[in-house]
Amino acid sequence: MIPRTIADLDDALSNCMKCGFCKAACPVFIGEETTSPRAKVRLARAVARGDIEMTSGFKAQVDRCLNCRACAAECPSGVEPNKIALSARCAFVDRDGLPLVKRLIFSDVLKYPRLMALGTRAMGLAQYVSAIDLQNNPLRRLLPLVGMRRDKDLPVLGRRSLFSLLPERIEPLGEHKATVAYFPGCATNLIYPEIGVAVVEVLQKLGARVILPHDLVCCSTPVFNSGDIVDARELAQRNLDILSSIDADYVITACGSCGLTISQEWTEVLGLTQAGPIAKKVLDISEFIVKYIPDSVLKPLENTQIVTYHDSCHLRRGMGVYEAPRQLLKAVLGDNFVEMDQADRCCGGGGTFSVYHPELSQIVAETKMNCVRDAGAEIVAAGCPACIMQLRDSLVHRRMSQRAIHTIEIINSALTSDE
Amino acid sequence: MNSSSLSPSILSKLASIVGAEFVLTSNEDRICYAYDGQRVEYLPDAVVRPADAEEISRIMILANDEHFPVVPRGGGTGLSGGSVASSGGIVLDLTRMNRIKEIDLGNLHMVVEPGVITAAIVAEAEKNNLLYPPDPGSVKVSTIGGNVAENAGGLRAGKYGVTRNYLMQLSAIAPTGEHFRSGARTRKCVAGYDLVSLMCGSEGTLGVVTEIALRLVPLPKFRRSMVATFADASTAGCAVSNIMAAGLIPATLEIIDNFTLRTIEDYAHLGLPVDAGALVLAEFDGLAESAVDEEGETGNRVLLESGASGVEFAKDAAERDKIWQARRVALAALSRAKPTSILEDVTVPLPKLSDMIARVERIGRENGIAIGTFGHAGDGNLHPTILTNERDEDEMKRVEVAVSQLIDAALELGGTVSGEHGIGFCKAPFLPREVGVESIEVMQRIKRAMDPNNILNPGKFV
Repeated sequence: MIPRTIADLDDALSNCMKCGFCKAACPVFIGEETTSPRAKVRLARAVARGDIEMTSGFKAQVDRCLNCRACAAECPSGVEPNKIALSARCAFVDRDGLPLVKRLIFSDVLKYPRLMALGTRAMGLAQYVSAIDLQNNPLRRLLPLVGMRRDKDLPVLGRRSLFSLLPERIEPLGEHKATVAYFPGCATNLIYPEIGVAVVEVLQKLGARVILPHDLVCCSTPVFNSGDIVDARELAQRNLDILSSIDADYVITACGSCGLTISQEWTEVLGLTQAGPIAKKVLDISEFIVKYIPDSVLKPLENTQIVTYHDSCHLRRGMGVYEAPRQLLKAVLGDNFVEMDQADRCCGGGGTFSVYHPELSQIVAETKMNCVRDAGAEIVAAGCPACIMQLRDSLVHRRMSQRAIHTIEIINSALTSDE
Repeated sequence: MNSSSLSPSILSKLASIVGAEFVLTSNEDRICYAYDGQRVEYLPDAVVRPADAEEISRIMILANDEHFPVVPRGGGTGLSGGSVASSGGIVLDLTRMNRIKEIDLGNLHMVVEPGVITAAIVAEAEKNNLLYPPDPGSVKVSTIGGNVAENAGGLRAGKYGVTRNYLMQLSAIAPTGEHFRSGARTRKCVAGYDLVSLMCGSEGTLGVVTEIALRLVPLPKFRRSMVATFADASTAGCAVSNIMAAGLIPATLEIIDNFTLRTIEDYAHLGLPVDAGALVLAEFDGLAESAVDEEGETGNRVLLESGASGVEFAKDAAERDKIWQARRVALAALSRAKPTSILEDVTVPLPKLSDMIARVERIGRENGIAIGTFGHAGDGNLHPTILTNERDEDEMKRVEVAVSQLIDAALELGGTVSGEHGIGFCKAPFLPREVGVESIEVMQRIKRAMDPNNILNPGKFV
């Protein structure tokens, strides 16, 4: 479990030799030293050693982190500035509590999935009533009041959730080869159910029986990233009880953040030691496909658009998923798959980060958008719905014609049934 | 925590020059500008982030009127305290001046502002099939302004030289606020005192560089990498100078001692020969394949004749990568082994390299501290890295003794206290041992002439 007080971090803080190499990797470092990972570590050390209090200035710096892990990957000394920022956020929540909106959502809404589904449908209804044309709606003038850009790409809400579209048990097409639990996560369940449908179809075609428990709740990523360990543990425990009751070979995820949280953070951040057996079963959908696919089943697609791939931070640096999605995209797209420069640079989404730091989020996105453009891609594929939300918003903001979709949507269209 | 000692009226004058948002005075902000890449920190009274040369000039005039120190800073990655405000005053953060202004393919030069990250210069040059060779370990995060101030070196210095060798022309602000320029965008220039060379390596004590014209060279097309295994580090050291004596100039020639080798293997599991006394890594590069191959073959022969128990060539890019992987992770591996690592920078004439390595080993043994040695053997530049724990007071005392002995050893062998990290305040006590009090007196006269009020980066080596 991560330390929840700054004082407990002292050893981790001493290991920083202040070389500054993290600055090259950090997407929110924008020249001023105070915005660097090194500065966060150094400020935390000042707090740990009693040089300064836990001030609002310190809070502003530790809140300003995408938890993309790029700093930790770059650090020669094995320091994890992102984890240090996270510990500091926990210390602030322990001292000051959560802001009202987050308290309501983390302590109540997230624990009631049906309420959430109802809520998104109600919001969808409101979207429908207020005007069908979301992009040119006059009500957009109100968005800046809640800290959003006027041209924010708002996902179309109010469609049926994945849980209402599919039953809890879905049989394979053809011979049964494996039984898997599918953990779709909130974004897929409520906002992009088509991604979930594609995942389940792929699993079926590969001979998997899919268990999709409808009472799964939020994986807890946004909750602990806000420093709320108590509610995060409750959500994680609830999911853990459900997943532990299923006799599945794998727990499949198609969201970098859900996958990372279940496979590592329930244990490492939340200290749920009993999560080990489930953690070991987690497999990203792309890796499951590579593992289970018979050679002949993926058929190359003809006349596709040019596709590039964006590495979700939590898939790439968290779960270590790098090769599998590329292998699949290359198999299906051939020369129409192109690598972009800095494919593993954060898109700037960072879960609630894009809501609380809209301008900075778009500064980070600028690099990604330039790379997408320079690669000559018409489609950018990603393995995480949270990235897809940010990529779509960033594309709309720049009036770019490219589309962002989940890798699995491409793979599904190229996958024939094994029957 | 001390509060800023600059008066509100000075702070408001600074704000009127650069804009209020670019004057940082909170404790949190000052803490983030109190450090560089070494251990000792000093809080500045404020941080000022100018946008151009004119603002810097006005800041210097104000500083002379009001008598507060000004400490220029780039990426803050220095290893000798050069950009740390050891006498208080303001840190002058130059990272807003980060434009690449011009690249001239006919004259092979690039004009940049001081806050450009060095790696961005290298990348821009490569896009045009050119090379900007100096590549200090911090190349991805250090700025060219800092590289000029410290005369940064790097892995390619043996063949290509250091930052100084790539400066055509500098524009700068004098400590008293005047704009001045030296050098020309020509291959040759002997117009007056060589102020370019004076500014380069002056560690921000004589002026603030505001524009730099850099010389570029053609990008080498071919490379030949090899790694040689030796029974002991001293033999490896001899092999290095034998390579030079054979008329070869590798682009890179690095050495890794047994302690470092084992630490790397424990950390990265690369399948390195942990029983070897030392590894020598060499890379030859050039524009013609046949020439590079020939140099590689001769290098191979010299290494074997010098007592290498084996030499392996990289057959392709992947193997080349594997060879250099060991060197790349050396610092990471060492710095993870203990909480505190202190990177030294002693440099000796090549024929003395073997002696120096033996002395480093003895100093570590006699003081009971762990020292891993790796470095740019082709430049005689070693980075003995002391692994310790800054919270262990007894051991830190022994570390101090060892550092002093390392420096004495380098000087006895005709070397220098610092090949590329600079003097700053970290190595200032050792400088008179190397250059003598008379040279220090000359440096001080130059400093007084340029900076009569001792405003710019005071408390450093001069």
